[in-house]
Amino acid sequence: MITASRRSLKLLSIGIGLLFTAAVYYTMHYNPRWDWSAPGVGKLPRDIVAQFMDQAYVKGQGGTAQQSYFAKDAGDNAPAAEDRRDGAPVPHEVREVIAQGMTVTVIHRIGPARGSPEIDVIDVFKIKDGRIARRDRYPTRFAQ
Amino acid sequence: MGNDSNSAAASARAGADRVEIALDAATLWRGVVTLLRLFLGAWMLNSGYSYWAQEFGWPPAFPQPFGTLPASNQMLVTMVEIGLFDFVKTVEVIGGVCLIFGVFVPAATLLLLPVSAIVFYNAVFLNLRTDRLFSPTYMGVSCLYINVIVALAYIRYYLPMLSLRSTPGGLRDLARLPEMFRQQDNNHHR
Repeated sequence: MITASRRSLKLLSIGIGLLFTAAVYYTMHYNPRWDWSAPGVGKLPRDIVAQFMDQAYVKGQGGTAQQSYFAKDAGDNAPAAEDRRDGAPVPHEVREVIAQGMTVTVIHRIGPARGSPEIDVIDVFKIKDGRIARRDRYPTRFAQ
Repeated sequence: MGNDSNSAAASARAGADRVEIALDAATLWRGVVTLLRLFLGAWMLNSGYSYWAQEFGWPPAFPQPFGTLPASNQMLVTMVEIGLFDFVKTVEVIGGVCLIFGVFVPAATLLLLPVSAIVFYNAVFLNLRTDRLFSPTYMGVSCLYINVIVALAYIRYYLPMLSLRSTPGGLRDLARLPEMFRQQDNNHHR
């Protein structure tokens, strides 16, 4: 038989609980599978794409955005796109964004900029681990 | 149970504030359940905190996972987008704190059960992690197992709720709510 006060047992259990909480936090936070440097870590795919497009188009920092938002082994069937280079801001009008799971589709009209003509495109982004893992661009022509 | 009656008698002898703990299987069971309760609480608190931490710009324990396979991606992303995760993560924080501090434990355990069930469904049926179905270190499945074990350990608190026949009470029953703060857990070691 062991004799103890209820209060001590209560405090002991709370202490163990807080210790468990700290241990779970530490173990999970420093788990190497998280890439904390990814700009979109923990964010919604549509938000990651919106942030990339804001930097690449509105701010004209496509080169910088591409380096931080695209994964190193990311696939892109439009590697020469203006949104992957730094320069003057590129005007664009987003017609629609369709997001499902980790796939974000942006239907937008890219205005004439940096010597390139106006084009209408459907960009399909695949997001993984807070970065763009793939972008497939489908040129099209809007009726209006 | 013989061990339980011994423990109860010992507890009565020890007085209201002190308790005598018999070194028997019943005590071992309670110890294991307590550790499972605390670990489940710690996990839930971290999970809920991590979501809200990112919302407020604080350092999370881990980034919100959005699943591995498409069906899991869809469910988790949609739950966040429509705001259901705000509810889920708040439940995790409240439930986790209750389990750690040992208050409203039966209610908190029940509150967390649907969360654990969805975590399990997401892991096994959407991410197809059947290879880790019995892996104790994989919280995708273990949180449901732990939740069920803890719930079973507190089943005596659920028995009044499981009445086969029941009749509705009056609104004046609401006046009895403060009783939940007055009731002592006199079954501490019974």
